Amino acid sequence: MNLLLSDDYLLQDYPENITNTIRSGHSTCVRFNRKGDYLASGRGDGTVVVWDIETMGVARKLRGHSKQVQSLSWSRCGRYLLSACAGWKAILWDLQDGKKYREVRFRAPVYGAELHPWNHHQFAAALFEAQPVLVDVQDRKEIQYPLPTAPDYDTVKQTTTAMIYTAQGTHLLSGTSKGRLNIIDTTTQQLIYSEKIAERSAVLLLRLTESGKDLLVNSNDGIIRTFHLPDLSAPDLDPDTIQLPLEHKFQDVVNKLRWGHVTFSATGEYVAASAHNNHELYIWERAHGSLVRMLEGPKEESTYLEWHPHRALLVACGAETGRINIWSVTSPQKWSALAPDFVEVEDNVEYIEKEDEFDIHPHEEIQKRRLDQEDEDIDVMGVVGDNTELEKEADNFRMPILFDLGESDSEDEFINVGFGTLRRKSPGDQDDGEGTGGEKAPVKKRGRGRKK
Amino acid sequence: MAFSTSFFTLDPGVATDTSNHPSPSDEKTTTKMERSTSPQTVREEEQPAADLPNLSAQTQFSSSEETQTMHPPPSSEYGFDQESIAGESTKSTTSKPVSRKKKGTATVIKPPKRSRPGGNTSMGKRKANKTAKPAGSGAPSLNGDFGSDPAGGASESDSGPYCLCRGPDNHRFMIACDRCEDWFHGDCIGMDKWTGENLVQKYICPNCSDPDRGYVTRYKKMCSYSSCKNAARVDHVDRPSIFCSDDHCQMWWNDLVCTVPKAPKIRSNKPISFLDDLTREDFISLLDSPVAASYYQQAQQLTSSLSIIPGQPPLSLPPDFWNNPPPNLLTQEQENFLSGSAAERKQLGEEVLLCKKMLELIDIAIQRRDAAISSPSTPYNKDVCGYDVRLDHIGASYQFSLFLQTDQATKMFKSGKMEDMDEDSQAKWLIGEDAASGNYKGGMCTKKKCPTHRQWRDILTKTVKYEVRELTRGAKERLDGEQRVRDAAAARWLRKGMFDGDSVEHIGQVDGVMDEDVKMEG
Repeated sequence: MNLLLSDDYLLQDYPENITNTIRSGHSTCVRFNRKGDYLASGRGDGTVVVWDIETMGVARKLRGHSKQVQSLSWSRCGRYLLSACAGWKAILWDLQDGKKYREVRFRAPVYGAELHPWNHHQFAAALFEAQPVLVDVQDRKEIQYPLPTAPDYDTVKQTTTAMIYTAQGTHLLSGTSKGRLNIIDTTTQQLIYSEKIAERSAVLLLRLTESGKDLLVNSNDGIIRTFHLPDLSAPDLDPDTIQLPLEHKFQDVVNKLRWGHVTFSATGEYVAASAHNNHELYIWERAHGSLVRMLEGPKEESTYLEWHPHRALLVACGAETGRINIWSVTSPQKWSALAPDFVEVEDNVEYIEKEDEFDIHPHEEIQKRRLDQEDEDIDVMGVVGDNTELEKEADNFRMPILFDLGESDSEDEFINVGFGTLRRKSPGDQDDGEGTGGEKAPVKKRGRGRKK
Repeated sequence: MAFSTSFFTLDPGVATDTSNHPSPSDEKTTTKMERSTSPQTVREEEQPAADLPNLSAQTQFSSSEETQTMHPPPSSEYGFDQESIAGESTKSTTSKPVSRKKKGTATVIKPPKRSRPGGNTSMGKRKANKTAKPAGSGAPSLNGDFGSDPAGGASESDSGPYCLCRGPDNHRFMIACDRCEDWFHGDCIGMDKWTGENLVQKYICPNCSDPDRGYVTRYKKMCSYSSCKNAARVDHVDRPSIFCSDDHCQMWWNDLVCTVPKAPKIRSNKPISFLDDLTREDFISLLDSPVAASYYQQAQQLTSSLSIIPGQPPLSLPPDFWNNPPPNLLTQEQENFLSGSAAERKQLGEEVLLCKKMLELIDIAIQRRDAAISSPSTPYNKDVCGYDVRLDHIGASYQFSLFLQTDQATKMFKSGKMEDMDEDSQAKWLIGEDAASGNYKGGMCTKKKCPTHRQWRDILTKTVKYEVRELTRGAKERLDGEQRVRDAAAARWLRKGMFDGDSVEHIGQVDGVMDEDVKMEG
């Protein structure tokens, strides 16, 4: 709705209710692009679906992975999308045409792959039970650089489980399976700082705010930590003086819940988390470190949680059904915004008009008024947005429209089986049937509604 | 003399006969002439009256005509009833000597092994006696899969609810709907057995029928010899005919000749037209004359220009249309599109080949692992990982293609075996921890129950197979796109061919006047 009509969008910082649920296969991970108008979701069967948030419809379906998609990462311009799957592959997609731009095969399943914030030809991948790598895909034949997992003095065997870039892209932050947090220089691939932040429990996830100054760490011990990050890109950085002051620790002491997934809010003011074996989403406030809200909605656990880059919109994948639930702020319509002297009233009001209410105004006055208005400068070119900085970015990528209707459908839930019976589509029921191109003839029995 | 035109009609049977004018027919007819008795035998269409297999025909379900009035064979204008020709008629020609099993036909000649009415090949489905019912009758074009049907004789009856009455199958005559694949008793839908078996081309049940959209039962054209209810032989490739048999054709012509008086009538007034004085002899010689032949040829030209080819749906392309497409059929844009699409498909095909090679490599690696495990001096047991560094590029097409070009790869594929790598080569492949760990010997990972490479074989195979599926799907999409473009161009060509220059084609000169009348404006 027109932003002008809802003046309380500024007031509500976090969403309250589920407003939409979208579904395409069984989604296992989601990620917003930088602008916040597209949501990429990875499915259990390997397909990556790009949703358009404004219409809640499928914009693209990218097929290339044969196994579950583990992580997604957008480039800054929004044109490239990196997806990593359990099938030892990472694919960099070019959304201009939906084709694979680069393909990289590793020697192990990929936990997560993150694109460099400024350079879409570089990404870092955390591998399962193997050394993490920094990959340069400038050429079609990639170059992989191994990255250290732990400092030399730490002899405990551990693997890197989470990795992200700093806001400038000069350094990489990584977390290991034994609770270490490392800072690695991307140009030299050297470990410059390491600290043990969680006792013997794996670091599951690392997230940064937009400014890059705050770090959010989720670990297996059920504690969510936030740190302040020093400015690592300063030229005179001395590794020995790096400090990572802990800001808050969020945990549920009552139930000792472990957190599945955590995320910062748009501004970084809030931290939201989804819990294991629990249907609610927790929201803490960072100013005081207190729990402000527990969101309810789906009757299932949420696995992956993402907050919109600048709106109060939360997106979570359901663990059992694979649906994507969207929480947002529902603002009541305020019609007084349409006309300034329009006042909403609770009860009917008797209006007693003035003497000259219906007088026709003198002609000259109307003329004068009109001429004045004509001289006004009206701004027709300006775009009203809530975040004008982003609009000014030079490299704005617009995703082209898809004309093939078959691709843009999220799938039917029901399949025809035999004569007059339908059955609900089960998660194991993937695209095998439709993939081989055997569409019409043998499918007489299992006629799925394919709009080709 | 071989003769084969029809004065009055564009008998499809006759029309195409000129093309295959088998000369043996000459002898045949001459002999016929000699043998003939009172009604002078007129030549029929010149086919050797050999035994012809009955083939399914199509077109109109014409009602039988009376014998008295000698109608020209019903298909006088080329308007086969549109309803009947359109749509499924293509089924006819190439297909089916499918004979359908009859349900519960204990009384029929053939013994219980599924009476196959010899040579009767109507398109309607008969109730197969056994369970094979829905599966067997899957697509309308199931070709005589006789052997595979269980030989359950005619003795079983199926009680699954069928038909409008939702009753059992009780050895009554039933026919299957081509749309919903349910079976219907002949009694319930008002179809007798003979019609159902012989004249139905495609049956659509009352529930599925939708006249507005063309979902109606289609029948075959009956023999044009009045009083004959057999299906006409309209879509036989070589000798289509509007009669069911040559005999009927002969008889029809005989009857026609008989309508012409033998001897000129004595009349008082002047004849109105030359036809009044026609005798049989004259008539026969006329039929034989070159004038008739030329009319026939013109008729043939007309029909071919209208793309109405007997035995095929009207307004369809001749089968070899795309071998020599007319010039300027496709616009430049379309040509570009088609060539671009074909190039893409070719590339996809090459990638599929690449994927096949990947699968081969996986097999080689597996063999090597097995050999390593089973060799007598081996230090490995069956838990050893077996992943080889040379499998690194499987799944990534570009890198794999580069790998294929190396000597090592060519050697490996040629010999079909994967050799142990020496230290130096291995060092080139391994970096970082992998190199330091010492797990890799000869290029192979020798760790036991290696967690990193767990199930590498399944994962890699699945990746490659998935890729192949996606590539073929992409190629098919492109092919479909190309087909659509071609079809559209052909349709345009047909339309233009029919209404060229907005004028009406007329054959010959009927009247001098007609020319001006007929030419339309524009």
